[in-house]
Amino acid sequence: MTYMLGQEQLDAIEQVLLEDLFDVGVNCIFLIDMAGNVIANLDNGEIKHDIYSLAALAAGNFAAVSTMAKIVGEDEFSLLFHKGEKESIHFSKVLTDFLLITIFGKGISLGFLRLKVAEATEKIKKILEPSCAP
Amino acid sequence: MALQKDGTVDFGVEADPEDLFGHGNESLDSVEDTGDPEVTPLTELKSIVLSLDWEITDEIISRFVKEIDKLKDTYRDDEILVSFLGLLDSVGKYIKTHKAKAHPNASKLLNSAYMSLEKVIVSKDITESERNRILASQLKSFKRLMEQIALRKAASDGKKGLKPPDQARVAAQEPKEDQAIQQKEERSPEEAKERQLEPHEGRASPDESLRLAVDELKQLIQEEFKALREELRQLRESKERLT
Amino acid sequence: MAFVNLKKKEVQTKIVYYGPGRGGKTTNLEYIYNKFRSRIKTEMVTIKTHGDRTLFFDFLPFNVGKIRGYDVKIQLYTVPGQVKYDATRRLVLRGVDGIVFVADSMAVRREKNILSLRNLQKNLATFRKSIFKIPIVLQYNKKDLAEQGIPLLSLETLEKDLNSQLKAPSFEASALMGMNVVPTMKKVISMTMASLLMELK
Repeated sequence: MTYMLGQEQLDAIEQVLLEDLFDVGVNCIFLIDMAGNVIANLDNGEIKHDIYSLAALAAGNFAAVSTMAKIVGEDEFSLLFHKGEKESIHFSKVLTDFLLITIFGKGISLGFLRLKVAEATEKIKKILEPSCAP
Repeated sequence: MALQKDGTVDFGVEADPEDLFGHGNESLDSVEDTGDPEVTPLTELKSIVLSLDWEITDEIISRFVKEIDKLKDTYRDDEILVSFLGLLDSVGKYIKTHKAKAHPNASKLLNSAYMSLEKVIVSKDITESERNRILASQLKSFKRLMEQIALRKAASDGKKGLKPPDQARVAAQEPKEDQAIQQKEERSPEEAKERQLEPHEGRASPDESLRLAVDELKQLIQEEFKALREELRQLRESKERLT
Repeated sequence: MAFVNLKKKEVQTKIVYYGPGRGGKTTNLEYIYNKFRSRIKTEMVTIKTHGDRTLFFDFLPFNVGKIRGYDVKIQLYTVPGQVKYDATRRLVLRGVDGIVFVADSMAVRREKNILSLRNLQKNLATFRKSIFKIPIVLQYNKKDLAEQGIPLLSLETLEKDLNSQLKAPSFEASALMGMNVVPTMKKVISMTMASLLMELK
């Protein structure tokens, strides 16, 4: 299964990431699919993360945790979050095939970030839905 | 315990064995379990603030506001603590109203104001002037947040053009300049009030500053609700137009 | 699943190296990484056990250059081969576009090759993919061991065991020596791209 995203869709996604997340101080945001492909990413210019490796690992990590959830009888876990000393990473599923990953510092609380991510996710869903297989 | 005629020792079977080891008079309840955390009046509020750090929901925020009300009653005779609680109440209600649209610094202020409140309550040898100083510092942060909120609202009302993604890094530098321009162009109610207050603050006594701060908080809450009512009215009107 | 980015004019596809444990999947990627170091700007990602066995996956992003005006980025993955890591293999297979099945030519591994191929078929099916339809290349690895006198399976036996129904392109190889590693990779890439182009028409 192959999917395509056009200029308009990708611009719209980047706009959502910029307004809802980047502008509130998230350092690095990327939207990937479950195969580990990078669809969109934004960063604050100071970060030089290897996005492609992060994407592959994030997809693997999320998939592994989802599998664990099913083993313990859950549909999925509502929070996947790794807390670091300076930087933390939050994962959020978008539809069935995509993941929104945010890397943020101490300037934002997780609670507030989750509110912003939920909002951004709803907007991105609407942009992606036409491209997804029924 | 008594030596019997036949040489045996009577340990007094009727006696409680605990007495033999001297434990009879001690109550288990008085045994200190070092694992138990100290329960203070702030325990519940602390747990709610920690929950909010992880997740902001209507339910948790409502619990927060309710707990603040309860503590306001507990500490009603302490003006400084009441001011702290008023500040927390204000920020909590702001976050409750605006949720994802709230300014990111609101959550930060909630946490730092709570930490300061805890310090003021828990520290045994804290002086009155130190308490005032801590409160004043939080009020300063609160005022800063109000300014930031006002500027943000003014900027979005002005329907500022959006920057394309590859200019995001450049855009990060611009807001400071824009803020300065916005400050000159737009007069928000909060700023106007502050300008009125400024000439007095430098000469005000601690009590007067406190009173002014509390007044300002009340003013802010009223303005927020006024803005909210206006938004609801506009929403209702636009819905009516559509039907 | 392949992703076509019309804005950047870029295609990203996923190729997974599958096969029994200790068959040479990671060695294939390590050879490619060392050979094309100048073109691969990032480090190869490996998640291994203390015993150097793949625990989760190895990952290597590889730019093959422009095809029909599009920058083609291949993500090469390996899976852990040991039987106990089946759940992990399944999740690494998610979104796969092309497969290299690395079989172990050692005679003692005959059974393991067959079981591993069946396992691949089963795991693909969980994603509603058919082993008969997905671009797949077979690699019969460890041919260099013949020189050491270790009994190896003949090409005929390997083809009969693993390729009688698939009828996929196959290569005898030595990942350690670098024999046919690059041709295997090129073949799977071209098959994957062809399949992708067919799908997009």
